[in-house]
Amino acid sequence: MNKLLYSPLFLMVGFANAELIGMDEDFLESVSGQTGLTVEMHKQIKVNEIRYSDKDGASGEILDFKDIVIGHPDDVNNKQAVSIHTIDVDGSDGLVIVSQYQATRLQIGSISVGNHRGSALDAYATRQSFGQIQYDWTGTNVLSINGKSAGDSGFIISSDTNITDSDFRWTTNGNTLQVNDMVYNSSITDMTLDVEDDTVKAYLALRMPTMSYDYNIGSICFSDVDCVAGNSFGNFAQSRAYKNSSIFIYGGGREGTGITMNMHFEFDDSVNALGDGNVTSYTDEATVKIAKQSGMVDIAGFTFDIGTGEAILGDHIAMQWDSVVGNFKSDLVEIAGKSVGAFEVRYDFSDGTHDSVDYKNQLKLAPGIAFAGEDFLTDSALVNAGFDTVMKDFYANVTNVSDGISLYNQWNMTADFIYTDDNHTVMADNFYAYGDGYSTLDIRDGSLSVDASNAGSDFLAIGIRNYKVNYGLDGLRVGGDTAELQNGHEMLGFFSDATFTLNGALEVRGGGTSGSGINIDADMLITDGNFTLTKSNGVGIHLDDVSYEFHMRNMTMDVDNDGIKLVLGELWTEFAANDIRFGGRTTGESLGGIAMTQYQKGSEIVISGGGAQVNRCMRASGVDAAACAANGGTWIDTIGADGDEGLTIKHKQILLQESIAEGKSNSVTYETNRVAGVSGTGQSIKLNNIYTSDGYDDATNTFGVENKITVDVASAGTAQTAELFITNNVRFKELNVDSVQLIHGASSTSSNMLQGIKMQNVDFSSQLSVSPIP
Amino acid sequence: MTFKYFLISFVFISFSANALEEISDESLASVSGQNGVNLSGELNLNENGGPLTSSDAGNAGVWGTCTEKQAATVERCGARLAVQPSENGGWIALDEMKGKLSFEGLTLRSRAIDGAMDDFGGDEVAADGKTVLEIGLPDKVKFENFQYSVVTSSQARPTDVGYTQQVRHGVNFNGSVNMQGNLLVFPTGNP
Repeated sequence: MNKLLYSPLFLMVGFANAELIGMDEDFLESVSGQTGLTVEMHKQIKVNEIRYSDKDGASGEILDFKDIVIGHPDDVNNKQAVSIHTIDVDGSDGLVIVSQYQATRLQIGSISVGNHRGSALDAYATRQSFGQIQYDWTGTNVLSINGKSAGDSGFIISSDTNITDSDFRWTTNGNTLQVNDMVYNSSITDMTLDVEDDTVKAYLALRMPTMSYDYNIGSICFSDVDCVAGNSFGNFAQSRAYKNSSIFIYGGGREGTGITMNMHFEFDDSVNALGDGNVTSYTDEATVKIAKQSGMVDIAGFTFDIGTGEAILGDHIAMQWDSVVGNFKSDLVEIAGKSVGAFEVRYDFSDGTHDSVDYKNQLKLAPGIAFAGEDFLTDSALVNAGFDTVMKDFYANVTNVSDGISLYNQWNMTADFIYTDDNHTVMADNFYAYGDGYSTLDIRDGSLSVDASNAGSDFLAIGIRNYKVNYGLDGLRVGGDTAELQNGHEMLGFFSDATFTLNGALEVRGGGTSGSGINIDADMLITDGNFTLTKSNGVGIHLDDVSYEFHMRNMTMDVDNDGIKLVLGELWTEFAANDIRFGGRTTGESLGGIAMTQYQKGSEIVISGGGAQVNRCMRASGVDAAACAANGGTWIDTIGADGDEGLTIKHKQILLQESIAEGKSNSVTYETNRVAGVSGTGQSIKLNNIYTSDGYDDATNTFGVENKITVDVASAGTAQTAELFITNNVRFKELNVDSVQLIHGASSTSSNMLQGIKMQNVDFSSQLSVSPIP
Repeated sequence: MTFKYFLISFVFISFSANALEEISDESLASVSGQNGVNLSGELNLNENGGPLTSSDAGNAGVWGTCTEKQAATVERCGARLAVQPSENGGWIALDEMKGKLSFEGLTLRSRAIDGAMDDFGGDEVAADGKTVLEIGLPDKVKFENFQYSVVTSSQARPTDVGYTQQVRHGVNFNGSVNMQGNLLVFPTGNP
């Protein structure tokens, strides 16, 4: 998807140097006429409004940009920005324009669409905007434009751009996202520009035999002033080279007037021979790196229109893709210096029909916050879960004239995911996903946080509304694309099929447990859920009629030398599956219902590279593969020739004792023999008030339940075949169940079957080879 | 993720009471290799002791590593599961649990019972079309120093004040068990 967003952006960035510039007499005086022309421009430009319209009588609307100012960053309204342009023409390079931009700011006061634009009659009191944009830069550009050989029409264009000291700011309702200290370099060589005709339509054809770019973003934060380490998300960087790429631009959108584009981008993987090659990285205290990237993407039928009358969004920017087909591969995924292995995805985003509903890949963007001020009382799913107040409180902090982004997203895709560990592969086969939903984005003051302790930290507020999500996969193929299909993904926490509706409110802010990082508060609700625990032979076992409410406070994500570290400040959840079904997802015979609650503080998850890092004889003894086989065992080697690749996940859960006042606890309830399958009418057994402690009293609780999982695609046996190898180690000092209750019918009267369970000093480990059933 | 493991475990545990069913050779021949999973491996419980160490507060001489236990500097290194049946009563515990178990060929999959192909001594007719979780028992299970004691005790923790215990019996198991057949898990009765 990043490529999709990037593609039109790239086109715009590539031509950023071609801005329209007014010249007055002062400027002309500075023109020198030696070899070519040198122009020094002192700019202080104000434009009240720029409109783009695709209205054609039958469809379309207006996209407008108001209060555009170009000037010096020190005082954009009163101080001139300076740029120097040398223009030359020679016989070999054609027209050559060398531009040097001193510190310059582009500021856009407001961007709006169609019926959100308000009216000059009331001084735009009802105008809803995407927010304010500010972009500062210093840099150089060398642009050469040449004609083709005699007899050929069109142009040959090369461009080299270097931008430094660059900052981007997005502001809504007085609160700002800062992207600081950006450095950007790009190069396009011998791009051809032609007008061609495919017998149906004429189109503008850009063909780029070679192009490359790299950028570095010093920090990102939500602040009125520049980021500091304590509120920054961290550092992002990317370097990529492409070859044989093209963009074809047609007039006309999906509805009447608009823009249609077909694009092809292909990684130049020759750069991967040296160092990281094509690479994307995120650096906090340590680095996550996706390096040695290769692949290609074909984008067909990308359209850009201004749409009208969407039921929730009103008028909007409409983007849609007929198909996005390609593959992406990284030969080196590294977390904090440890290799996880290689990763590849082969994807196809195309239209599809599920349950008689057509799904397309489209994105609609509207200014303002669509659900501002709603009470959600007509949504029975939210009301039944008591979640309507959460959504109401979240959207009470904005109004129907607030700035922000509201969007509708629909998607349909299939993909194969391939993970390679020391040259052995496992493929998640025929993954599919489709769905649709609404969301909103705006930046808020820290005082509006759901957690009062965040008062000083502005945040990105993300509202999620009725996201209907469907996904699943056929299973795994270990060792190759045509290997026998097998299960095993369930053991890694992946459902075979899933369907659910998601509503929620998230707060995302910069700053981790230590220095930069990501901090999230979230209140989320899943309803109408159906999750397939396992399936084979066309039938499965499913959790049906699922609701899952979860709340996180002060969850931080950092990358340090241990890996990617998620620390949960506080977590409390309520999960209920009304039926555990055998057979059909919603029609299979039911085993009864299950409900669980969770209450944790200080739990954490650490994801790192490495895997099990063992080579040993399983189920027998032997010092190598031959000796092991002779003794009836199987030699497992997860180290391999290429080093210690693999995935390691460490999980620590500190389960708290119940808080009756807050209604939070850890518990598991199984209910059966219900009246017409209605929860609360049958007989239940409940593990009540489950909590951990450190083994000598009930008050000290720092160790929790430690769980370490490793995943490798190992070399197995003397034949060195690929085999999924999963190890798991669970340790806890003490795990308590306060009581085991029997609860009888609708009266909810209960009796204790057991007064308590106490498990101590457990260190349980498993090492499993996972293969297809012979 | 943890919830899911818990759920899966719960489903398995809840229906372990269902009968062990033998599947005929004919039925086995009809099994195709679509999905499902074959597991082989090892399970270890407290191989070298658990996370309670002799340096923990109040643990000196009680909990420690199995090396310390061999040296008789601590009493125990195994896991302990204690339940209290009566309010303010004593505890029944599986104590000093430890050992190693290895197996080969444990299979898991879901499938539909075919009344015409399966043979469960006539039971397959009533179960025709039912979806079951089929747990194919491993061909061979090997136990190494798999041990526990059944004890009764006055307190929950061995480190609690006034703790006393009586060992009812102990088990130490070494050897191999050959198994065949499948365990079929499916819903019955009113859900």
